[in-house]
Amino acid sequence: MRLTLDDTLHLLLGLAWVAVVFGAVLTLAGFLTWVERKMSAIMQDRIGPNRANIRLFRNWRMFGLFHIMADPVKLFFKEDFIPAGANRVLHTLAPMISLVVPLSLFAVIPFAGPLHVHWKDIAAAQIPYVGGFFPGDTLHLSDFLVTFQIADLNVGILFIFAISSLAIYGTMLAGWASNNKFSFLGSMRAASQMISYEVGLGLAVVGIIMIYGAVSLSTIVTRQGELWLGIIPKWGVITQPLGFLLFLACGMAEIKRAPFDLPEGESEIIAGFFTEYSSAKMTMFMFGEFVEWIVLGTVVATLFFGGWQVPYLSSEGIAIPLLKIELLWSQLSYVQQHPLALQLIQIGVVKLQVAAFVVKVLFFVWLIGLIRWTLPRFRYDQIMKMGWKMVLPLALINIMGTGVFILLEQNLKPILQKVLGY
Amino acid sequence: MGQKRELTLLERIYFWEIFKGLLVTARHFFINLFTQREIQTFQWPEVERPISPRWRGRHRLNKREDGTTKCTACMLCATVCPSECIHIVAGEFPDKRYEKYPVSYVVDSFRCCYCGMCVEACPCNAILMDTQDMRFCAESPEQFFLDKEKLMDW
Repeated sequence: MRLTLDDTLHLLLGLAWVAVVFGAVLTLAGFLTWVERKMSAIMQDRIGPNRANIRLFRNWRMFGLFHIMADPVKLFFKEDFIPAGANRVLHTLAPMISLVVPLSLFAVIPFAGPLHVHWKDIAAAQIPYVGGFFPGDTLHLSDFLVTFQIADLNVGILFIFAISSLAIYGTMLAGWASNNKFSFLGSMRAASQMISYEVGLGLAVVGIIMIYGAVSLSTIVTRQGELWLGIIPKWGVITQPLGFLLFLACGMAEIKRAPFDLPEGESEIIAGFFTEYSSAKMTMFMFGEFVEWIVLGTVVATLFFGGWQVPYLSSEGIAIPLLKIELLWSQLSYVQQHPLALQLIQIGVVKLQVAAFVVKVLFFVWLIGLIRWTLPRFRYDQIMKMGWKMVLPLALINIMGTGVFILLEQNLKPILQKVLGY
Repeated sequence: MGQKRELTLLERIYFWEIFKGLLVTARHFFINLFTQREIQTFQWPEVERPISPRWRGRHRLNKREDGTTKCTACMLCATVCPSECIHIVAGEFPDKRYEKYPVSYVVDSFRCCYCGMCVEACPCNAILMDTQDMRFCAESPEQFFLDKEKLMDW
């Protein structure tokens, strides 16, 4: 199969999104090392880390932002310790799994709506350097679809579940390979907790799949832009309020953060599964945990808070049917005079969507941090009881309720449309 | 311990109570994010924390008008000291102006528990702990043995 110019551009865009997304995620994860401590401090009426500074600018402390640089430097210069009797291969492999698995989840997250490019065709001969490799080909920029997603898998949700359940291997192997009973206890706790809550997590999302009739994340997000009764955005949190609460709770358990941080349980089992880790490997575990934190925020924002959707705004225009508001970009007199203006407006809309997505993700990252520093750790039997006796039945009830809701909606929609007149 | 009472339905559902808890922490978060008004921390050493006048710190020996120490080496402080950290060698005053005085008076700051009983026991108001010195640090362990010069140099 020969690569055409269009394919090459798609490929280059995909690689660009890889760089953009992982750059953004890793930057945010780096910031979270500081945010977590600073946030807990100001919630507890303390000041938090604020002492690190660069000697060149004395007293220039930037609210302790230099701790982001100081901490890795400190950690990387620690001794890389592997305890006697530990399985050296697995001991080294575990932190890598813990970091790589959550990072790979961002591949299927759409972070802006698709952008249709209607510009002009460019012949290969007109493209400098690259064009020489594609003799006789044309770059069809007159009809080109830019998707803001690394990989638009049509099994998006299943991919997320499949990959995120691999994270348990990092935790399990860390505890198993450390030759330490506290580590082993921690990993045992992690295994039973994560497997228990995976059930609830999966069932909580079934409602979403039923409502939007898709497992592809880009389709789910697109359908969340539809309006309900002509005015309420059909976001997951409105169609699935119980599903949202269950998903958030199970997600918190899945990423092992307080109040579900029993695998670490520092007051009981030292540091749980990563007791025997130091230096860069410890950093990888910590970083993996922060990335998981962002993953949960991102997935919740994508599934339940409309992803990149800005209410009522689309690449065509602004529309609220119930209030009879409709504004199409293509009907503006300015746009009709200047052919490229529509494209510029659509690019602006995409920028707005990216901004909306980032704001939603940051809000959930903040919320998860807030929950983590508000609630104390559960007791172990409470966690198991909640997982199997509360979350699981509620998720099943939610699925049934969703089925009834869909049936009612299909029958009542024509009547409601007539009554409300949209 | 208070009486254990039955939880209401709203409390057993748990989510509402969590939400109320989140409101409390979120309120502190936003207050401190913008004003820092609830934060009690003093940014020592840039900002000095006000110390109560009764605060017991490093010792000093009180002086008379002519510059000699008020201490008469009566040994009451050394006797009452629970940590046994005051070491006094008594002697006769050279020019007979006063009867008795400490030839050496050493406070072992490592042992001192800052209980203030020496100050209470002193009949001459000679040993005091009112230096208000929060930065009592030194470069070698010997400097924590406060001899007479250090105690009177205040």
